[in-house]
Amino acid sequence: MRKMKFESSDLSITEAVEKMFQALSNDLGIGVSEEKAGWRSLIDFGIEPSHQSELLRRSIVERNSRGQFRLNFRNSRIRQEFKKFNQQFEQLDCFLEDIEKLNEAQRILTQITEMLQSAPEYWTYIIALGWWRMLELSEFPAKIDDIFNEGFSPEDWMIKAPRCAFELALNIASKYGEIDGFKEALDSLERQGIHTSQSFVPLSLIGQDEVQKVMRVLKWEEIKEKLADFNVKMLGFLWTLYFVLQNENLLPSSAEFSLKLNQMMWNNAENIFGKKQQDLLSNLENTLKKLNERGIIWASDIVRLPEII
Amino acid sequence: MTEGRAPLSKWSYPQTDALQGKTFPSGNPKFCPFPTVTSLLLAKFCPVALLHDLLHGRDYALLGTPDPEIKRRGDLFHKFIAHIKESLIKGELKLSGYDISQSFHPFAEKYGFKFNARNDLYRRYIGPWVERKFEELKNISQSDRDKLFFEISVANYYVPLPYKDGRKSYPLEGRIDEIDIKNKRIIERTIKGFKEDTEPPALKDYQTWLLWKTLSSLKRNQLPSQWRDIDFEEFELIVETPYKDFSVSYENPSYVEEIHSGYAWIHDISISESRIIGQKAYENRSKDCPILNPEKECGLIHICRHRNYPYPQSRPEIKQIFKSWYQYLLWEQIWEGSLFQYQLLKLPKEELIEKGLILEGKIISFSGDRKIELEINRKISSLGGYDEYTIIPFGTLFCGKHMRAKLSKVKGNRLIIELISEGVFPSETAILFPDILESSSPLLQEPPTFLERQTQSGLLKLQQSGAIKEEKAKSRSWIQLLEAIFGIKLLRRGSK
Repeated sequence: MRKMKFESSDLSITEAVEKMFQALSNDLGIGVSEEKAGWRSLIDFGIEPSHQSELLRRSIVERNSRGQFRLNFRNSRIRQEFKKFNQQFEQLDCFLEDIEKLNEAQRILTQITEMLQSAPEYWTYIIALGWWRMLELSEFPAKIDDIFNEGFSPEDWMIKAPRCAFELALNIASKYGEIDGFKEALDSLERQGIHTSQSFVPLSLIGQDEVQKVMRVLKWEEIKEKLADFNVKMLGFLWTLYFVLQNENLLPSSAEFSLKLNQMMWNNAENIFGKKQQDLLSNLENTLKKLNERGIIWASDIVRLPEII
Repeated sequence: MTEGRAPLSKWSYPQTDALQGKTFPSGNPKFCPFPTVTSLLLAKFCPVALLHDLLHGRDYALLGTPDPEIKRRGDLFHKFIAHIKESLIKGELKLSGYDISQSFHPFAEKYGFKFNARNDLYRRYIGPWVERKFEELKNISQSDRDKLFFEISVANYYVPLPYKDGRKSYPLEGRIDEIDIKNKRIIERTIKGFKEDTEPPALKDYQTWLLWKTLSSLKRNQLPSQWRDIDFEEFELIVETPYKDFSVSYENPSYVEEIHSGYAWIHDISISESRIIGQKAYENRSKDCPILNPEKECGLIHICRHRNYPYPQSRPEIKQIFKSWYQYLLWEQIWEGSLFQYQLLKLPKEELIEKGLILEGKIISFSGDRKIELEINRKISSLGGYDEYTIIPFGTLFCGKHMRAKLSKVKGNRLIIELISEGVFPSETAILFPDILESSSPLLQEPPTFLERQTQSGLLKLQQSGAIKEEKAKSRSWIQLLEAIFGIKLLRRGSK
């Protein structure tokens, strides 16, 4: 029996697959959609037209209506056959998955932005949720002397302070409207079709007297007083977006798409606040600098932006 | 290569109080890490590579591959050439291609290279180099005993660098592969490159230029006593690959542009108050590194382009929390290691001794088993901590041969230290050139900042590891532990 011209170990087919990957990568990299990316004539991949039927039969390539070809990258058998390209297949999957995530994230961002623009009363819930996430993930840095002065041991502090996260978030959000509790904030988003449905729970709350002590240790009132309204809202907005996208598993895998998501979030923030990112940030940085000068050096570790990238 | 960043108005040096050790080390040090030539190369290569170096303890982007073997190979190439030259000076090696190849095998074997690897190394790197350099090697004799120096550390507190019509000063440290006093050459050696190259391997010219700038910025009294009349400004700068030598220009406008930008990146990633420096670094990531066709010559490709496993599901929380830990670990390194380096180069020697930052000893004797006996001019009971030291048997704190050593014995006011062979040449410069030793040799203990770097690196590994399938995640206790510590979902015990 005559030996097939194209074996997977054959150098020429491996080179052709590499070229097909390159064509796909180039097109996708410059923003061509998945449907339109990577199509070329066989000769561009260094493949003789006489091998066309063999390649199609083995489903290594697919053909479009214009008679062009590209790597049949969705075919799992091809992936088995060309294990040498595992890394490229994986990168391609991540890339395509990230495109989908970003599109869905864009839809949610627009939805939340429009909601806030048409119904400003939602700011209360957005601030409560966003600040809760920001505070809970801050690990509550504070001065050890202040912790002792309020009767906490370091161990107490580590256990109790994070449990105040939602109380503190409510405290700051209540300046912008009435809010009773955590569930109310979540339900408000659900009513707008924004899902926060996963079974997460905030840490169980502690008594009001303990909350007051935590506030004193953090010098909470001073921090709150120094922050401009738009900074409070901006942090609430960005952290809520982050929280919602995380719940929906829409945070991209790659740094490139994370950058794009970050840019989308800031575009929406600029749109809402009518200020440039740089101005919003420099205002926040100046506030934190002032707090630092007043000895509240931990403020910048609590009041911070979500790490998207 | 990366895009530039606006230069700093001035470098953030430690304040006098910090230099005097009067500041309690905590929080943001407000002074920058002591920059190395490698940090500047990384900044030019890709700011994300620099970020990984500073925040994640991963500094091998420039190796071009994640395989650590390449570094070992490069080190061996460099060490063996030094060994050949030193052996010729000592008259221990006859000059024939055969002898060189014969001496290579036992030499490489000592460093753990197996037979096939040794053959490969000789064929690819050593052989072509020896063939090219045979005539030059013939000219090396015993009269060169104080003319050739290998692995010389250079550092300066103020390296003036041209900037527009004036200059800006920055600190810088690095290590020169070879200084050839007789032929007035500074050589940077590498196994990178190919026979057909017309340019030196990427960044090697810049590296050589930076090292030369540092060396030539030193004042006479900062140089080893034998070198005080040498004008290093006149030295030729050479990048040497196994296949070719490349001469490096003294003047290259791109170097000047890059260096200020590089310092700005180091500053901003380390201590700036900017909330978005990570974002900026990624935005400026090398244009040669698109997502689907990343830079092939980057040793960090698997770190930078890692796969985000679905489990642990608390990864976003882990990322948020670890972010500040990386920064704190860097600040600890700056407080410990960088401050120490600034002190070494800024404080008067008497003050360094008085503060216990260095010891100074007179070398009494060498013995064949790599032991050095030092006479110390102070109470030895003050020695403490771990027993690893750096001794500078030749040169000064600014420019000299740094060698790692272990404290072996204390006899009255005398110390016996043993040189640690790994990382230094088997025929030590100090032993080779006993008559040119400085009258006293500084002995110091560098703070163990590698521990913080290891922690950073370990945290990143933890942040990036995971499982694709839920069943796998459930059977891995460390993933469950991460979910328990960082997760926000309700955890249930047992099967129901």
